[in-house]
Amino acid sequence: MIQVLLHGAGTMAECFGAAEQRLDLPDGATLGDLLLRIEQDHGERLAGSVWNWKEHRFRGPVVIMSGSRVLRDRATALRDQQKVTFTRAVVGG
Amino acid sequence: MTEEMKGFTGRQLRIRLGERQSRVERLDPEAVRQFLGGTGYACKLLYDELAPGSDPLGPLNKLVFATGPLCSNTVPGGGSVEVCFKSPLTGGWGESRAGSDFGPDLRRAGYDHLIVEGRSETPVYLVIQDGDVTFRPAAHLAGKTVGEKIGLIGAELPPGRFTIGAIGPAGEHLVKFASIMFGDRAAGRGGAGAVMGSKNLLAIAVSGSGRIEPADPEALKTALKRASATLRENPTTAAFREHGTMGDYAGNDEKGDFPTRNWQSNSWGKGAELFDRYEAENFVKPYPCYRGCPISCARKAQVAGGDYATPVHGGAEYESMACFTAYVLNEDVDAAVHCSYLCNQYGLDTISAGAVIAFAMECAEKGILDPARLGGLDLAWGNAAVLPVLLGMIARREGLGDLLADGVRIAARRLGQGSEAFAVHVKGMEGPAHDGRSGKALALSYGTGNRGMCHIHPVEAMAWDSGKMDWGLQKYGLPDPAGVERFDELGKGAATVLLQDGLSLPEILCTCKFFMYAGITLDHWAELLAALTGLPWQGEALLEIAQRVCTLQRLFNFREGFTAADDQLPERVKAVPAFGRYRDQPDCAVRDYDGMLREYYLARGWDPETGVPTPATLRRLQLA
Repeated sequence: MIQVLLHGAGTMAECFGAAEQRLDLPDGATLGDLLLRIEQDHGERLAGSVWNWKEHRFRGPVVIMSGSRVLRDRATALRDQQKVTFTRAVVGG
Repeated sequence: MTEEMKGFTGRQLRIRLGERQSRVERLDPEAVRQFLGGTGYACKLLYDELAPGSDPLGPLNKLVFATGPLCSNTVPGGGSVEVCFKSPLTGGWGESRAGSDFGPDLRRAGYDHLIVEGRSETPVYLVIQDGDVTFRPAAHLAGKTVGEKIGLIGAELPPGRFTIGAIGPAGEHLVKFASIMFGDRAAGRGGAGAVMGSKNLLAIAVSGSGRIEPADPEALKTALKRASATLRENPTTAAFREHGTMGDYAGNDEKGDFPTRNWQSNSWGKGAELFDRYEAENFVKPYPCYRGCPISCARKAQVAGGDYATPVHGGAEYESMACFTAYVLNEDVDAAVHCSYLCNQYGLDTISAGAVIAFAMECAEKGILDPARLGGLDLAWGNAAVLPVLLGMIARREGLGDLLADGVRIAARRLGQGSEAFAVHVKGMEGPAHDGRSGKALALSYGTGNRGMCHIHPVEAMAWDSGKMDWGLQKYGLPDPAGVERFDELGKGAATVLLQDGLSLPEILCTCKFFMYAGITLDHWAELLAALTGLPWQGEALLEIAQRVCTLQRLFNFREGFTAADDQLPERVKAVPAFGRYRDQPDCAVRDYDGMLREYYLARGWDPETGVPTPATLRRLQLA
């Protein structure tokens, strides 16, 4: 079992119900596992503009970062005590 | 002057088209001190040189291609050019930015600004290669699309790397929202293309080989390194690169930031579906709009086949796509991408083009456009097929297109029959695809914007009270957006002043505003500017310059006959939406616009009733 710190920055805090929370995930859990867990726990709060239900992923400019690294690949392995930040960017235009 | 002030070329190039003359002048040192560059310096120049009441499409109007001290391929966002003029669309202050190598190349050629005056008797294009300026006949380019013009000119140019700015048929036909295109990037808003067309100037090609030495190269390296680190670590950088401006499309629909059916609502409910279709079928790849851009928010898009087959091109930005979908209730994403492409080729501002068509559709629905005016066109809401047809007619001023080519304000005046009520504009400029009902600061920014109803010159203020961005302005007094309710109105006036000033600096310095979304703040700009000029710039001093520029643009407009009445918003964009997600939410409506406006005037140091800058304010800003 590993524990991941889920951080919803800015307006993403509303989607997760809190700015920060700890989630227990099985050993070897990946970013894809975390996304499924988010869908399971917070699906009701995830608006259709944010969450693509068909593909179980965020839609549009929601950026997933750990430290200064952008996480894109669902197969990315997560480690114990890793902080994963979700930001819904405003991309102007 | 610029022996003392590094960071500038110190020269401006003045072109007299009628006489086929060019003249190199020194920058006005006092204007540089007070207004820096970009829209600031250009405003001072036009305020001083342009006679009040000049016809925007007459030979007395001037077109200034302005750059600034940060205009450089190595500075974040520095691939910019600001085109400034008296707007034929509004009759007041006009400015329009394009991301392009044109600005940096003009500086490499040795000029901070290019000032175009007069009118050529015959079509002409201009070639600037370092110190050489030539006027070339352009009759063979007349009527060609932007892409055709750039292709033909490219084949005629001497060896060297040139950047070309050109108008399309819309500029030649004096469409009042014609753009100047730098490849696929537009100086779109306000009709700069019509001003260029009125001068019979069809294109400008520029190439430069010079270099502008910074005052302190080591300090510049440090400042650039700091800015790069900020950009790398900011999630918005990745968001821009991965999704471009279209990334907000679905979210804006959800937040009520999505003008729909000619502003009858602020949401549609189709955003997510259409966004997914665009990403799956039309998006090709990101690209930088100038050499060296570390964000690359621009998109290559296409329509692979079918009725709206469109080659791979730069376009399909959020504004263009929203205006050719939600504004007109069009659900065909391919058609919207195609229309965006056509606007680039015709040299039309996509926002005003979508807006005038939405206006025409509502006129048709209400029976205001009679069959003779319609000429057989089916202007039913959502009819995708009519969109490209009408764009061509507008660009060439044919039939109904001629009426729409002057914008909704003039079209409504001509049509009457109550159409003024749904001609959505401020100061004559059509509204873009953001809705002040989603965050009230935007409503105020729309009303008070000097160039008219624009979302980004000076600021997308709903990104603060609704999107919770602060652009690093809290240290200068901006309230923390986390504690601000987006539908509240009290307190938005003073905040909007600071937002406008802070976010107008990219136009003054000649860089890209989107870098501020990705973490670059006034402090970064000040550090870069200090390294370039050798002067101890601070954020506060930059804000004072922004205040001065805003107020002088205000004086420019008032001199042209504007009053506080021109700061009003159309009733429709203040009303509770007629349908959609926010239909039953009265808080969403703009309830006390005049109260917000009064608060704004006071914070600016303008008379709270008339909106005229007070003598004390003019003295404080050294404008008296």
